[in-house]
Amino acid sequence: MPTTSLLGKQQVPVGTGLRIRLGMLTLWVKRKPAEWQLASELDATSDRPIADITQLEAPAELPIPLSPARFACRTTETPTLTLRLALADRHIVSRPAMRFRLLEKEQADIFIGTPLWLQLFDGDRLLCDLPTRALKSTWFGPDTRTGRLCYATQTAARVLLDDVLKRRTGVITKVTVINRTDRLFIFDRVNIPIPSLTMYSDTNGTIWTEDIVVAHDREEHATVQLRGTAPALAEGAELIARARQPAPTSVLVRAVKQLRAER
Amino acid sequence: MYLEIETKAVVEATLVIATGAVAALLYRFMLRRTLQNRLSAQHRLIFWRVGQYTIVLLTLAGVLKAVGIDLSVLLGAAGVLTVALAFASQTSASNLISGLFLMGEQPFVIGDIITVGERTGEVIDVGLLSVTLRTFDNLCVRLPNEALFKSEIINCSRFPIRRCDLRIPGLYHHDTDLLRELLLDVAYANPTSLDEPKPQVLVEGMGPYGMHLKLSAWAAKDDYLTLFSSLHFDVLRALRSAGIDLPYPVQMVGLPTELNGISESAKRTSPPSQP
Repeated sequence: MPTTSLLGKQQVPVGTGLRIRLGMLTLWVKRKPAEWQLASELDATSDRPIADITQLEAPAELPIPLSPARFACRTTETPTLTLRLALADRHIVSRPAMRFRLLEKEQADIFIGTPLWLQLFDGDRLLCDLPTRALKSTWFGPDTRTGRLCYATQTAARVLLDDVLKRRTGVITKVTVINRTDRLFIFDRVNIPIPSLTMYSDTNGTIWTEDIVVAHDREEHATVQLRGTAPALAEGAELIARARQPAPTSVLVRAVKQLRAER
Repeated sequence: MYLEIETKAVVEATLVIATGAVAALLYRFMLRRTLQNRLSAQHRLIFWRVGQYTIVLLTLAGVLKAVGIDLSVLLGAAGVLTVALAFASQTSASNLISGLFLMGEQPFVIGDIITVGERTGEVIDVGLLSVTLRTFDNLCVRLPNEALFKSEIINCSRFPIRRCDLRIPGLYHHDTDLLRELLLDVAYANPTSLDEPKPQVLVEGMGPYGMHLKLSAWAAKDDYLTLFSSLHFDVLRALRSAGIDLPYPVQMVGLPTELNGISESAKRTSPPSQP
């Protein structure tokens, strides 16, 4: 089932539960008379691109080795959970698996996949906000004093959309890389301001963020510009999650050192 | 008549105290409204303390004046006392001046983790005379500003990321390339170790049994202790599963032949009988 089918409300009568699987994440939910119990696990050996949600009949049991988180709440006749998808809560630094070069005065569109986050709400109250993949942190900055902690991912930096759609996992961001200099440009890594991006889904259930433009205009300097509109390639784009953080006022984010020119 | 004057003085003094209290509350409110997001917690504390002491002194002067005590007499007496106090309070003055320098220089702020001498802890208060630390075993340590000013202060939380170093003694017969790869794999696999800056294995020198290696990995400052501890466990586990033993000091003890003879004859000698 497409990932977007997870979205929406799920009734969980008292005594029953849910098992939600997406990516490496498995999340168990159990409803008790006056509380929710949640347990989650990230298993790096099983990465499911397809979402899967299963109703656990009464008496639903959580896996024994996991200690559940308990959330006290009022007893209601029809306990309902709301499932939402979200983007990462930190910037993501994506490094091409194979070094990507761009000729002088050239531009290219590449597609970068980043992981999804799964959120569970009781009404409008957040119960959990979990990544669907195990991510390592990385440091992005000119030195070890200034910069920011980001998540690290590797990207195949595909240039054809069909290749991306065949292997779709998570959320796709179209990055337009522009080399305005007179030198060959080596795309070493890019810092994507994910928390400032909006998430959309198209008619096929593919999840997109708004497009971004990385412009390299002079040595050791590049800017990332957020388009601020629905992605052009997503047919019938429908907004499914707003940005976690407001975009920087100038919509220009300095992305120093991740892009280098040589020759 | 006497009672009326006294009542008036008491009323005046009470009014002065009430005004002082209101002024202190207003000052605190203003400070919160205007400086909350502009200054650090430490600077706000300094502003608060300076204002607080000024308000207390002015209120005290107002109360004394209200009850009919001549301040000029007190100030005169204070002049005489100053000389005596100056001798008696050299340490306090030194702490005070050191405190002002520390506040200006700001080698740490409230909430930082610092190491001074053998003490490591979180700075919970920066006063005019001393700094208070809460150590990791939850002890409250008061460090005089003068001592701090003279000491080497290591601020463990100034920068957002920290490097964690592990020193691993290798044996000369070990395959150093294999050992290096194994250590790097352990560092990359650790979930708290950062992807960038990259983990490194460096040779620190040649020892009596083999090469001294250093594995360096980076972590967010809050994850430093987790990385430090887990990396030790992970390295030991990886070395054991690869069948690599770490060298340990071996002391050979040899006995000369004649001593061996004494030892053998001593064994044959029966112990003296007890009386």
